[in-house]
Amino acid sequence: MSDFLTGPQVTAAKDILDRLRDNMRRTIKGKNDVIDQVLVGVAAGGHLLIEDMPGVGKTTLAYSLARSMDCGFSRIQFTSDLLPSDVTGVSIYDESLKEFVFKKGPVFANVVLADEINRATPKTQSSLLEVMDRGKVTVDGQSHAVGAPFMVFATQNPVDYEGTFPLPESQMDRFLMRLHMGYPRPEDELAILRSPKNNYDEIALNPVVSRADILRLQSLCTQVFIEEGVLDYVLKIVSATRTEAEFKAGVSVRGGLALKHAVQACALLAGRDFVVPEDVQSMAGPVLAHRLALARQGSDALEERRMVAAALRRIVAAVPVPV
Amino acid sequence: MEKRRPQLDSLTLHQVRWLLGGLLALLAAWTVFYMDVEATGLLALTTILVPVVTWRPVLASKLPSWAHMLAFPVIVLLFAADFYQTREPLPVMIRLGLLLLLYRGVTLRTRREDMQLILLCLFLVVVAGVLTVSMVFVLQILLFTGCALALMLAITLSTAAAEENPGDAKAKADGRPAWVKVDWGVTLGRLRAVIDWRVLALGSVLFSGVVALSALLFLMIPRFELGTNFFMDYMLSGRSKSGFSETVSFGDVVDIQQDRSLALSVDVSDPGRVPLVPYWRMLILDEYTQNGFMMSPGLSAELRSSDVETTQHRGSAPASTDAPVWTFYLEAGVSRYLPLLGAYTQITLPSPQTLRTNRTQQIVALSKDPVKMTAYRVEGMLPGSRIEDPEMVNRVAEWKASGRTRERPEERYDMEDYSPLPPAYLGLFIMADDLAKLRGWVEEIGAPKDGDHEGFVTRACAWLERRHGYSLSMSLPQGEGDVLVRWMDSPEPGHCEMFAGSLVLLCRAAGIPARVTIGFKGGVWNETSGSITVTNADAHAWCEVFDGKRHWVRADPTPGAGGLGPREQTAPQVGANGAPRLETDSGWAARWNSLRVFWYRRIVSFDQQSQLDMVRSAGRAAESYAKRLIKELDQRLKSLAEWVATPWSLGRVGWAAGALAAGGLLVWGWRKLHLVAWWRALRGGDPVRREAGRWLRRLDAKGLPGDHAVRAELLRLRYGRKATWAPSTRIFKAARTALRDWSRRRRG
Repeated sequence: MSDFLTGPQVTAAKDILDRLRDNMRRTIKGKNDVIDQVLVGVAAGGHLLIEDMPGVGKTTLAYSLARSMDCGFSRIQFTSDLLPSDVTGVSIYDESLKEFVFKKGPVFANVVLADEINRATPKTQSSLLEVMDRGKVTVDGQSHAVGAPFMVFATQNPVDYEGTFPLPESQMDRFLMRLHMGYPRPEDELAILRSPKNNYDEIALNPVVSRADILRLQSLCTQVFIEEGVLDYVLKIVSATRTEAEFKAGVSVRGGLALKHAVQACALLAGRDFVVPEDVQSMAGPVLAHRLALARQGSDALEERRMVAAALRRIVAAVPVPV
Repeated sequence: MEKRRPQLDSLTLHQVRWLLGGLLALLAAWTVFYMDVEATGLLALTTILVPVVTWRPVLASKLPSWAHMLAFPVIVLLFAADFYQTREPLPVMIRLGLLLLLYRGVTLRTRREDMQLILLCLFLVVVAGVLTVSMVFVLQILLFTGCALALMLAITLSTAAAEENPGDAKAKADGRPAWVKVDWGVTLGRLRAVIDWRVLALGSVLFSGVVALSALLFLMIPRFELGTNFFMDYMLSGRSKSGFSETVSFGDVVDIQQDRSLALSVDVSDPGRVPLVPYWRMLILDEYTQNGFMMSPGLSAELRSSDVETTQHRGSAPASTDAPVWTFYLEAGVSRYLPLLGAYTQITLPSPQTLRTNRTQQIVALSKDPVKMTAYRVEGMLPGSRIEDPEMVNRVAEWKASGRTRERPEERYDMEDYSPLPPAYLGLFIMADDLAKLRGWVEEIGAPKDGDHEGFVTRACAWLERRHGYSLSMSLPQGEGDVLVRWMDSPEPGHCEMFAGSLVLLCRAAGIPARVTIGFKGGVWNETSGSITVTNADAHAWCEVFDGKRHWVRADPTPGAGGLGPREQTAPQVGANGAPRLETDSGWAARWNSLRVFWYRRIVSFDQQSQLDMVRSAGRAAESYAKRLIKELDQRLKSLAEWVATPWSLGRVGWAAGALAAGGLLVWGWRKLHLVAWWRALRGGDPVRREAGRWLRRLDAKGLPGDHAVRAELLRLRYGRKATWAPSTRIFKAARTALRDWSRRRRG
């Protein structure tokens, strides 16, 4: 394989993404920008955290993506009594074989929906750390690969505090992007109300891309060209978060890499084999905001998120664009 | 892509504006310090309040609204009261400017008020520059230009940002503008983030352009005398900060500090006429009292009576066609007495000034101590150690014939009926005991016989040198009686004033008229500016004794100075490079001083003739440089041809091979060590990418639709992989066409 993308490869990648987009749009109404961000996450091979109020379509979005891909899907409903082994799996003594046999947990799927992730205890939340980072689970000293592609689709409600455990920074850092659904526009909501389907189980979507397509897409994504000036632009934005007094700590190296992968995917989604500064500007918020915490705490979580987003916008506006 | 990318948000730009405005206000206040204006309290208030409020703009927002309502009437009232009391328009206007500056500096400003602040500061800076004509003005105007340009840029940007995000500009916190809550660390951090080397380079180029253009305009515009044609003329002569006084009190100064600051610069048209040791005479102290030497009331009255406002003054020396022209630049605060080397034909001033002159004694003074540099040109000056005074013989004879003797003041220690003829060149105001001592010493030295004044002076100088060493730091012996006699009676070392005073007493005790002369001695030749530089450390006191015929002869009794001055005019003293045989100075201080001289020659005293001279000399310099360059190239080519034509030896072959190898190594390094990449990085990357970026900016500025095909092509050139580029010239041509079509369509 050559080290840069050819025209047909770009077309093929765009075709995969277009098919996924069209299929998801059949179910998710009026959320084209969110769907595009999800597709960026898919192409970049990252995990997504969707934050919003209950009942705005977070789970439906994850389900429609999983159904559009011919991949294994599992859903874990995170609750306070959920145990790590309920997520990763457990070794059970098999009488017939006279040995311990590993029984895979729901995390062994290509797309895992971690619903209401912040309702589980930190211990259970931490059970996802290894698998999100390395794509494998270690139980009783034995590592078990979860397979590729692997993508965690977590949802959480940022407003509700009762009985929730905020995700630690290390966990947040493992998510490529944090997305917000938002309420649909009135005309889109009317279409939803008119639909006879009441829940996502009734969604009838056929897979439009295969597992191999996804793996190919992710491989092509890494070959999208980033010019030195643009790479420097990425670095300057990341560095600026580290010197910004409003933040407790800046974006990690992993965060910088995440932004790089996301902008490559963004370019591919636009049918380009190279990144432009606008890709960086559009991805900086979703990729970096959840990795930053304010030095001074805001009145509530929503207020804090707004302040972080505003500070991030300021930083992006202040860093000179490589034109 | 957005059409215009704001560098900083509206709030940050507001804060930058505020900061720049504060700096500008402080700069303007600083210029007022250099003016001789009674505004100490106002200045102190401004220099304290403006920085504090600039640092904490929230304080400005707390100013109650009634304060703003009262501000205008209060300022008008203060202005009217000030004018009524002083009746001096310019100081009143400067104080009004300061008052407005203070008000603008401590209150929140709109865009219009920021512009007012710039104009106000410009007024103060320019007025200070015109009045003081100090070199600091160059620094002040440069700082002002930079600051004002930056402020105007910030105003423009913040207005644009406010138009884009009107909410930001009007955002209020606790009823105050949101931007007043400022964390300067954060603001300056953001500012630093947007300022890269390109911005700095562009800013520097713009700044240099403005300065260069202003300088060019300055050189081209016709000259006019601002200082004398405006009502501000009287401001030009206020109080000086320091200076030579008309009295010397012995015992007051026992420890002289060496002040190496520039006192006097002198241009001379013929450096060969500069004496080996120039004595720059300024004033003479003829009367000796119990307090020391002073200018006698008679001589002072003579000077005062000669007041005349003029630009030219004729002296006693005959006109000479080959005499050099001396141009003096006397620093502010040195003295109102103008240094001269001797008799002169004519003194010319750049603008009319009130002069006080004594043609016989060769003293020229301004009526007031100048607060700015004084320039004057002297023609036909006769440097030498003798000053002709044809009336002196008659004066002495007249005094002796009047029956008055020096006996009375020796006997009675009062001045009531002691009124020697002016000037009091023979007067001694000392007790009998001291006079006896003086006479004893005169005998010891050898009293003058047959009017041999000069022989006595030579011996007296040697006598003083034998008894006392030279020291800037001295201690006077305690006791009763005259200070100088006490000192002469002791072995204590002393400085020039002690020696000069002592010699005068000895001469007078011997019946020889003598006086103390104050001025500068020596100086160095500044190689950079080609002028003589005299510092305050060269200040000196010496004597002039009457030779009994018609001359005052210079006598410098300070050890090592040579005593009596040479009888004849100093022979031309010039070195191999055309410079006088003075000590030369080419260090940093000399370069700085030469800058001052340049300032004086070309900026301060810049008239039409100088303008023409400067243009001619620039033309001559360019011509001579071109000739030198061509000659140098010719020589190099000739020597290369000779070198090639010479028979080749083994050493030369080796040398040539080495040079070739070095060249090859350079080429290899260029390719292998990515020197090309370094070079490109220095130049700012690939030229095709740069050009594509320029076109993208141009398209965006013109509002070409984002989905235009040529835009995608340009984006690929700018950000895409090189291997995928289409021919760049075709794309740039397409961009040009697209832009033209788009503009035409929009116009149509």
